[in-house]
Amino acid sequence: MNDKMLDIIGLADEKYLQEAEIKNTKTIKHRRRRFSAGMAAAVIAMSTVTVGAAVAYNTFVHKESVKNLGITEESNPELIIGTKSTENKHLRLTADTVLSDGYMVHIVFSLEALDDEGRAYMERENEVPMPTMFYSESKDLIYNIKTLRDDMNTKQLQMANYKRAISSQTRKAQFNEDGSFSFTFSHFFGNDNPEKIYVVPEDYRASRTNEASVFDGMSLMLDVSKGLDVKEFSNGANKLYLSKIGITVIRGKGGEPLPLGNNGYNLILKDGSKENLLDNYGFAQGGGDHSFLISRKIIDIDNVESVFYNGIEYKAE
Amino acid sequence: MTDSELIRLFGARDERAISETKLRYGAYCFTVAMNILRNSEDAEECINDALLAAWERIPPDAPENMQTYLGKLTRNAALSIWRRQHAGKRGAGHIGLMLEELSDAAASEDALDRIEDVMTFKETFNRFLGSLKKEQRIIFLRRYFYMQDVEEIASALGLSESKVKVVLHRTRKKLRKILESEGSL
Repeated sequence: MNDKMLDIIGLADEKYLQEAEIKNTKTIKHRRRRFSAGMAAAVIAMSTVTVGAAVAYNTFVHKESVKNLGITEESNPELIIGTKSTENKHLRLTADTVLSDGYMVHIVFSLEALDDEGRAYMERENEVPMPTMFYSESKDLIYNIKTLRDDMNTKQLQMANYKRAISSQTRKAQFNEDGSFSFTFSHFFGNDNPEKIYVVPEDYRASRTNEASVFDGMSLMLDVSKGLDVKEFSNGANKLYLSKIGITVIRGKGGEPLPLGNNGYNLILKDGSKENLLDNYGFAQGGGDHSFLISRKIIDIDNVESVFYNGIEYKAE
Repeated sequence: MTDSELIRLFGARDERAISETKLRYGAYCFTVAMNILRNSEDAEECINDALLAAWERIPPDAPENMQTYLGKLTRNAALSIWRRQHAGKRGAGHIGLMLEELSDAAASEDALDRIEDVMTFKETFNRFLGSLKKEQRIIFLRRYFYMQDVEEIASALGLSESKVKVVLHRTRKKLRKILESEGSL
């Protein structure tokens, strides 16, 4: 069936659309994908030079900004700064910072051009790498990454959730002073709790056109075993876990949907003040037995007295 | 933050326009995107595409109703993603079913294939919408613009599912008649 009818219907006047407007009713379903006969899970996270990242790019996305948070490698051994990189003749990708609380990981990457082709890629408007993350169910590598990638068809590649810079203006703002480009990558593991992941940068345009990827041959193994402290909260029935990078709620099947309202995630601080995590959220998902929110701003967990999740208070254990 | 304040931020190329718009309308856009994509990660991507489109278009656009405007951008972005994912695989999934339904409203595949610019249908299509009773129009647009399930529409409007189906069927026939009588298809 030709889908031009959908475009014709898209020409409806705004006065009619306003009349028919729907309400916010959808919940976000938690999904986990498995393939290769269940032997490996290829989990595609979101790269986040995103609109969401733009909310707080000045506090988290940039390498320099991460340092400006006052976090040092000495006081925070969970951080890896500038020690993991992969390159080909065009580009170098470095994991500047890796934060993992056992449930989720947040990584700050830098991308540097090494030749004209690499520079052309980085200057291409609205094009950023699409990191594809693989980890094994046995918590260690069991697949040769090339084999795993060959197993993936186009649809699976498209499962990778790319995000673009919101505009040429903001994209420029995300270039570091040394000419490199910073972006972030977040993913929720849930109970899979992997120790190592493989990150393969994807050239989204090439994956659509079957051209050679500018990232050809590049991959990076990162240790993502739990490094951050996690503070446990409870409402008597369900648990909530808070770390510097986000919230995980485990509710059992059929729990409440992910709260999307402005008061869905509130931290009550020790001085009685309230902090709305949605002001700085990067990615949130829920609807199954877990829901989570990855923050774009480091959370001072020691200063949190209790957490209101979906209007219900969770107190420190 | 009000719509006019948001538009002012867009006009000033202030990046808070994006974050504030997402905060205020993100959940709504997510609902619109999920109706089409049925996948939360794709819906998130779609919202970002819609906000990017808003950033690029405002100004010169100055929408009177931000929610409707963003709903339209989100629908367009979601359909682009859906088309990318289903290139060469038409007919699959809930959108495929919807297109089957809409075949009542089109004269033929060939006629649709010959259309070069759908914008030429704008006036005719809106005249058709204007000719419908309000309830009929709401049901039609909820189904084929916002892509809600029949069940959701029935529940939201307090109607039976069979009533919604009958209204949709009659409305599609009417659309076909108008398009044919004007030689559009």
